[in-house]
Amino acid sequence: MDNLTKLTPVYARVRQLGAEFRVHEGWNLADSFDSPEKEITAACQGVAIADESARGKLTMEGSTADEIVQKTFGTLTREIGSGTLAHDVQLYRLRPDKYYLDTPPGGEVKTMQSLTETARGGSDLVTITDMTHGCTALRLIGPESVELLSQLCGLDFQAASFHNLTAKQSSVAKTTQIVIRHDLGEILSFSLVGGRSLGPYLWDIITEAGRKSNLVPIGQATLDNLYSKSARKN
Amino acid sequence: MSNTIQARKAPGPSEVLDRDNNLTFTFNGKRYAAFSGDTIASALAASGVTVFSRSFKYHRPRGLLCCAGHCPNCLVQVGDEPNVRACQRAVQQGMSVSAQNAWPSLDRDLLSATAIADRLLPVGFYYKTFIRPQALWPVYEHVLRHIAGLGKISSETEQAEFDKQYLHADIVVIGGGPAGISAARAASEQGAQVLLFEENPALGGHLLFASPERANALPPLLDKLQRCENITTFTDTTVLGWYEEHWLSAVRGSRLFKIRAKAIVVATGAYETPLVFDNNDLPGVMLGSAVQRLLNLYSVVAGQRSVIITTNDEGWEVAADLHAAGVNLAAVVDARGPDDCASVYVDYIEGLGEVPIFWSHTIVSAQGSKSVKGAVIAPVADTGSVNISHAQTISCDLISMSMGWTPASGLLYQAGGQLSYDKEQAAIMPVKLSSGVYGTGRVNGTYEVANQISEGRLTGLRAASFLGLCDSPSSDEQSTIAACINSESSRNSDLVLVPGKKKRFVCYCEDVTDVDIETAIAEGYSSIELLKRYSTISMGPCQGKMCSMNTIHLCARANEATIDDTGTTTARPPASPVSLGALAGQNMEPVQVTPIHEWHLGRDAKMMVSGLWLRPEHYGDPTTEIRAVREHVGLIDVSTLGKLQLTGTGVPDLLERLYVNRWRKLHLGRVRYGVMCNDEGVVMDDGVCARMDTEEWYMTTTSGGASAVFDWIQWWTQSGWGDDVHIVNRTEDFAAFNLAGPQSRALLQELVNSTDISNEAFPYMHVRPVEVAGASCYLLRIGFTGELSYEIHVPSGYGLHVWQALMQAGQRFGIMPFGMEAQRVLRLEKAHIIVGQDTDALTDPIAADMSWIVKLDKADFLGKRPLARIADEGTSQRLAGFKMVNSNAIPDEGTQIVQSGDDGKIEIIGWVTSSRFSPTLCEGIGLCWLPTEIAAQNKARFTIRTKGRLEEAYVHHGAFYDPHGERLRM
Repeated sequence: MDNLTKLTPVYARVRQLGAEFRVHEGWNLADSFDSPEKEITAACQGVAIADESARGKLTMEGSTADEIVQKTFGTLTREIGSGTLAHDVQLYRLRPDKYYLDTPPGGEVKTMQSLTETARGGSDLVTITDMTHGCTALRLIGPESVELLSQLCGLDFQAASFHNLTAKQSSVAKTTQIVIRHDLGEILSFSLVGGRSLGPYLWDIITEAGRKSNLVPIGQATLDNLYSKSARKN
Repeated sequence: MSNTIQARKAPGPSEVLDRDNNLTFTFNGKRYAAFSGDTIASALAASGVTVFSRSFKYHRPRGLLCCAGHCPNCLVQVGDEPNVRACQRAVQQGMSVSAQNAWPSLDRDLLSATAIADRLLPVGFYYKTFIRPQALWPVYEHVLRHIAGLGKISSETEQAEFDKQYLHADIVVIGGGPAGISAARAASEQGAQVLLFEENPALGGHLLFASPERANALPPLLDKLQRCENITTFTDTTVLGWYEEHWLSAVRGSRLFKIRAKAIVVATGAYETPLVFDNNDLPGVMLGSAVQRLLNLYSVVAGQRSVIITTNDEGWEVAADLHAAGVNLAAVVDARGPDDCASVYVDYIEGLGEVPIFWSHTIVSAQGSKSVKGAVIAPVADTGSVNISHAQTISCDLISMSMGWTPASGLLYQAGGQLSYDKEQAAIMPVKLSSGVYGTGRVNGTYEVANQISEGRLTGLRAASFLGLCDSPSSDEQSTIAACINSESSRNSDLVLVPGKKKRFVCYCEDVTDVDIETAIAEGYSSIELLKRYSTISMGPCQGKMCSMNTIHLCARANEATIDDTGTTTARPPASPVSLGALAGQNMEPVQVTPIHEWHLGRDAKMMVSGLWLRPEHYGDPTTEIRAVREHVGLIDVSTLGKLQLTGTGVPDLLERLYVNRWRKLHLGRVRYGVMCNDEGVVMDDGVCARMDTEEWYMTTTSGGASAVFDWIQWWTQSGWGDDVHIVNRTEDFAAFNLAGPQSRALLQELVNSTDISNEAFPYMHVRPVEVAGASCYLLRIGFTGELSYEIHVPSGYGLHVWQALMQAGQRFGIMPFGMEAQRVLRLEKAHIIVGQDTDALTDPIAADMSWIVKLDKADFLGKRPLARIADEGTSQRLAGFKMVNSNAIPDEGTQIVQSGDDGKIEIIGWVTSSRFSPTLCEGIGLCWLPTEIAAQNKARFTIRTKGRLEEAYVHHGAFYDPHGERLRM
C-alpha cells in the first residue's frame, strides 16, 4: 500500500507536465517544473500558474464570526470582500456572517483549533468548516495574470476596483470560484478557489487560454521563494 | 502572373504600403502581385481587376463600391473561409482567393441567366413560386439549395481558436476618427479610464484617406492622444452591440470583447450612401469615399477617365484628388446649383479649364456590360425631377458618387436613443439619447473636421461630467460650438432615385430594386418593417448600411408619407457581421471528476456523463461486475453523491419539515433513508441522513440533486425555518465509495485495524468515524445493491489512497470495481427506485409505491396536504415491479405498456422506466407505471410494446432479490 499522502485535484495534470514532487504536510506537491530561475522569471515578467490546493481553507459562518476573528487574530475586516493578513493567515469577509480563511498547508488544523477554542461557550451558533480537501486553489502570478483572467471572468481586475487582499465570488469559465487578489510582494497575483471536482477542467481551460500569454506552471519551491520574499517585504 | 500594376501611382502622404515588401497571391487561380499593406481589393484593383463577385440573385457582375467593409460587392472566399471582405483583408504571401456565387467562372457565370427569367423571380418570389406542384418541391429544394448561399465551408477545416475577454472602463469611445479621438482625450484628461475602439487598422477615421489638406489634422490629434496614459486603444475592433447597463460586445479577429462601461461616446461616423439609377451596380460605379480610400491609402486609381456625380462638396474633393493623381476628369456633375456649393475645390477644378462641369445635373444611367463605359447625365429641375429628354452621354470608366451620408447610428438606436428625420440635414439624427450615452462627429451630423474636434472634446467632457469627474462644459462653449456646426453646409439631399428603364438597385446584398420596393408596397407590405421582411432588404451582409436610408425614402414616397411617419427598421446586435466562432469563444463546458477519475481511466473504464460528472459506466463487463458484488465484493465510486452538513439544535425540526418521514427520534450514530418532496408532494430527491453528533447531521443526496437540494434547504432556512441551523455543502470535501458484497466486512476489517465492525458492533443503518487505511473516514453501513455494504466517506485528498488500499486488500477476496451499469442492475434486483428515472416531475411517493415512508400523522411538512389528499383519493397510476414472461425479452426503457380497447384499438396504459436482464435471476425484470388496478395485483399480466413486438410481462410485488433484506443485515 502507498504511504498515506494527500493528492491535490490537479495532481494528474501536474504529473503529466513532468513535475518533480515532494511531500509537505502530508500533501504530494509539485515542487518544480523547470529551473527556479525560469519559473521566477515567468512569475515576475509574464504569467505563471501554481497549484495551491494544499493550502488550508476554512470557512466560518455565524452571527458572531466578527467577534471570533477579532479575538483570535486581533484584527478584523469590515467591508464585504476585503481581506487582511494575520501572520500567515489570510482572512476574507465573504458575507456579514461568513469568513474565508487561507492558511499555509497544514496550518488549517491549528487555525481551526484556535477558532474553535475562541468560539466555545458562545451563545450563538458558529460553524467552522475545513474545506481544504474539497477545493481546488489555482494561483496565477505575474503582470499578465489580469489579461489571462479577463478572458475567463467578468470581474473588473483593474487595481482601482480589485485591491490587493480582496476576495470576490464570481463565475470563472462557467464555474463558481472565489477570486482572491493576494500579491506576492510587488508581483500581481490572483487565486481561484472553487470546487475540487472542477479543478482539472479549470486547469485545462486556464492553460489553454494562457497559451497566447506563454503561461508557465511553477512549483512549490518557487512559490515558497516568492512567499518568503513577499513576507520579507511586508 | 499578373504583375502589371497598371493602376498604382506614386506614393502619397497617407499611403499605408510597404513597397519594399513584395507579395504574391492568387485570385481564381491567377497570380497577382501586391505590396505588404495591400488589401486583397486594393491589390486586385491595382492590377486592373474590376469584377470581384457576382450578385446574390441575378448574378450580375459586381465591383468595388465602398472599400470600407460595408457593402457585399467584394465578398470573396479566402482558402476555406467564405465571405471575406476583400477590401478589409490584408494580402498575405501565397494567399488563395476565389470568387463566390459564380458558376462555372466569375467571368462567365451561367447563373446570370436568372436575370433573363427575372419575371419568375419577383420580390418575395419564395412565397409565390416553386410551390406547385407540391410533388416537385424536393427537386426545387435540391436546385435552390445548390444555388443559394454565398461561399463554401469545408467540413475538413480545422477548428479555429476563439476566445473572449472582459473589459471595464469609465468611458468607452466607439470610433477613432477626429471626434472620437478628441472625446477620448478630453475624458481621459479628467481622470477617466477610457477604452477607444476603432474598426479600422489605424486611428483617424475619414482623415486617413482624405485629401492632404484635411488629413493634416490627424498627426497632431494622434500625438496628443499618445500622451494620454489612461486611454487604451483597440484598433481592428468592431463594436457589435449595446446591451442593458452599457454592456457592449466587440470583436477583433478571433476574440470577442465583453465590455462594461459607465458611459459611452458613439463616434461611429457615417456610411456614404449610393444613388439609385439605371445600372448603378455596374463595376466602375463607386462611392467617392471608396475612390479616395483606394487612391490615398493604396495609391490605386480606380479608373483612367472619371465622371464625378455629387450633391455635396465632398464630390469636389474627390475630383481634385483624382485630378492630382493624373486621372482624366470627364465631368463633374453636381445636382446643386453653383450658389449652393461652398467647396474650396470648385475654383481649382474650374481653373483647370479642361473639366466639363455640369451644375444642376445628375446621372441617369451607367453604360456598359461588365464595367463602366460611359455615364448618361441629365438636368435636374428645381422640383427635383430629372429631364431625360436632355440627357447626354459621357465616355468614362469610373463613376464616382458623392450623394450623402447615412449616420452610423445603429448603436445609438440599440442604446435606446430617439432619432428623427432632420430635413435640413436630410438625415435621421439623434434627438434624445439614453443616460450616459453620447453621440459626436458624423453620427451627430457634424462633418467639418474642426467642428468634429471641438464637438468631440465637448462630448468627452460631458461624459466625464456625467461620471462626476468634472463640471459640465459651460453653456457658452456649447453654444459656440453648436453655432459652428449649424453653419455647416448639408452633405445630403433628397435625391435618392433617378427613374429609368433598367435595373436600379437599392439593396446590393439581396438584389432588390426600386421596382421591387414599389411592388412589395403595392402588395400590402407598406410598413417599413414588413417591407424589410418581405423583400429581405437590409437583411444581407451590409445589414442596411448601403440601403436603409434609400429604402426609407422610397417607402415614404410610395406611401406618400413623411420620413418620420415611415420610421426605420429596428437596429439590433450585431451591428456588423460576426462569425459564430467569435460569439462562441473558447470551448468551456465544465466537467466534474471525482478524486478517483484518473484511476478509472487507467482501468479503461467506459465513462459516461451524469449531470456535469464523468462516471464509470463499466470497466468492460458489467455482468462480471454484478456477479462480483453478489458473490464476493465490489467497489463503486460514489463520490458524486451530494453531501450536506447540517449543524444546530434546529436540525431535527428542519428535517421533519423537509422530508416526508420522521427524524426527531433518530439516535446518535444511526442512519435513516428519507424522501424529500416539494410543496406539491412531488418527489424531489432521496438519500440518507446520519446523526453524527447531538447537533451535527450528515445528509447525502442523489448525485444530480446535490445542488438543487442544497439550494432548496437554504431557501427554506432563509424563509423562516433556519433558526439555529447552518448548512454547508460538503459534496466536494469527501470522496465516497460503496464497498458491497458478502466479503466486504472481511475485507474492510483488514484496513480498520482493531475497530470492531462486526454486525453486532456496527449493525445495518449505523454510522461511525473510523480510520480506513490510515485516513479518517465516516463509515456508513448502508447500500443500494442489496448486499452487505459499507459507504466510506473519506477526505478527498486521501480518496485515491483509500480506494487503492481497498482494491489492493480486496485482491484475495475477488474484488472488482463496478460502474453505474452494474449498480443500476443491482438496485433494480432490489426494486429500488432512482429519482429522475423511475419518477418524473409529477410523481408522488404514494404512487411510487412508497406510501410506507409518508408519515401523514406527523406535524406539517412539505407536501403534506397534497399527499394527504392523494392518500385519501388514491392514485390512477402506480409504480410496480415486473418480470418478463419471455425472460430474454428485455424491453427498452421508456417503451409503452398497451392493451386492446373496447373498439379493438391499442391504447397506451403505462410505460417502462427501468428494465434490465438480471444475471442473478436469469430473467428480465423492471419497474413500470401501470394503472393502479393492475399494479395492485401480484402476477397480473400486461403487454409491453417493444421493438415492434408485443411482449407479455407480469406484476411482481416486492424486491426481486433477497426480498426480506437478510443479506443487508448479515
